[in-house]
Amino acid sequence: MKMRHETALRKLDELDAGQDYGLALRMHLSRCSTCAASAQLLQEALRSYRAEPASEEEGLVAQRVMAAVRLMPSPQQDFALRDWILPAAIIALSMFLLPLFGKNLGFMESLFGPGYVFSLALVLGIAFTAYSAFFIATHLAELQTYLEKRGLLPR
Amino acid sequence: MSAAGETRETSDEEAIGRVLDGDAEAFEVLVRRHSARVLRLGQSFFHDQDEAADFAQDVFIKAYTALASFRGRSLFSTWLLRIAYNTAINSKKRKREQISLDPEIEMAGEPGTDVAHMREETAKAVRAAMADLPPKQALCIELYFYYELKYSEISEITGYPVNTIKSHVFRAKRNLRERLEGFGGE
Repeated sequence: MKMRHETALRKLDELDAGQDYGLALRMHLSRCSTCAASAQLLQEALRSYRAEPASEEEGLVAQRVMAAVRLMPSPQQDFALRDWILPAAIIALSMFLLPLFGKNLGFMESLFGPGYVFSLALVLGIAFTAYSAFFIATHLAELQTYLEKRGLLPR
Repeated sequence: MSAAGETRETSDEEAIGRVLDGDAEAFEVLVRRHSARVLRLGQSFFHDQDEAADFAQDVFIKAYTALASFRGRSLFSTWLLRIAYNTAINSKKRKREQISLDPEIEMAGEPGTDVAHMREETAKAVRAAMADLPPKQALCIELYFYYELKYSEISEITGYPVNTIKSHVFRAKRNLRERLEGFGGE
């Protein structure tokens, strides 16, 4: 089936960046010199628009950035948020499950004595608090950005 | 090796890996490779060379600080443009200025040549399309036409739905095609 000029031009205008023309459009362009010229002209125009000569500013920006970077501490590999959340979830879950099921764990009682459930829950609670404090302390910059974005910090 | 030679030979991923291993100098590869794009975005927003240079510096410093959080799920250029876009929007918000996207902005080019004329017409069409839109959406047009980003990448950077971006770009292309009609040479 033949493609009309209007359809071909509409399809050209709908194309994503770097997207292939597709078989139907390609066939139409090979037969229709008007549409082919229009497609080529648009490509040339965009190519010329993107081909901007390098400016002096680029070198200047690189110099200024690198001068600042040399004075800054090196960025360190950090953990993904889910890497932080998983241990916290395990500690929290253990803290809540221990009083419920702790009495059924005979080997734990023989190992730590009869009152171990309370002591262990206390240790887990302290560990959870310390872990949370450490997480907040290492994410202060992100917290500040988050609060700033929502306008919750006074200027 | 010269800075330019190293820029050509080192990939973004390699450079990022070296920076995270403590070699701060490797960051220059990324700055040299991407500074033109960031500067261009700054010029689109601020219409001032000095302000665009300050903006670009700010963006790269932010990128350096946050480099460890780059997970490689998108291209480094997309990640960097997202930082640039947010920085520009926040900077404008802070100044409480109305962004004016001037359709008559001057484009550098060799006067008198057909290529320069075509480039000028293209720039006019892009600027006109941008002027018709709210400032935050207007950048979608530039991200498509100048940066050659896909709709999905623009959506990732700006947060706008793909269909919104697609319809803006569609209208801008149609407008550009009309402006280019005189260049056919037939």
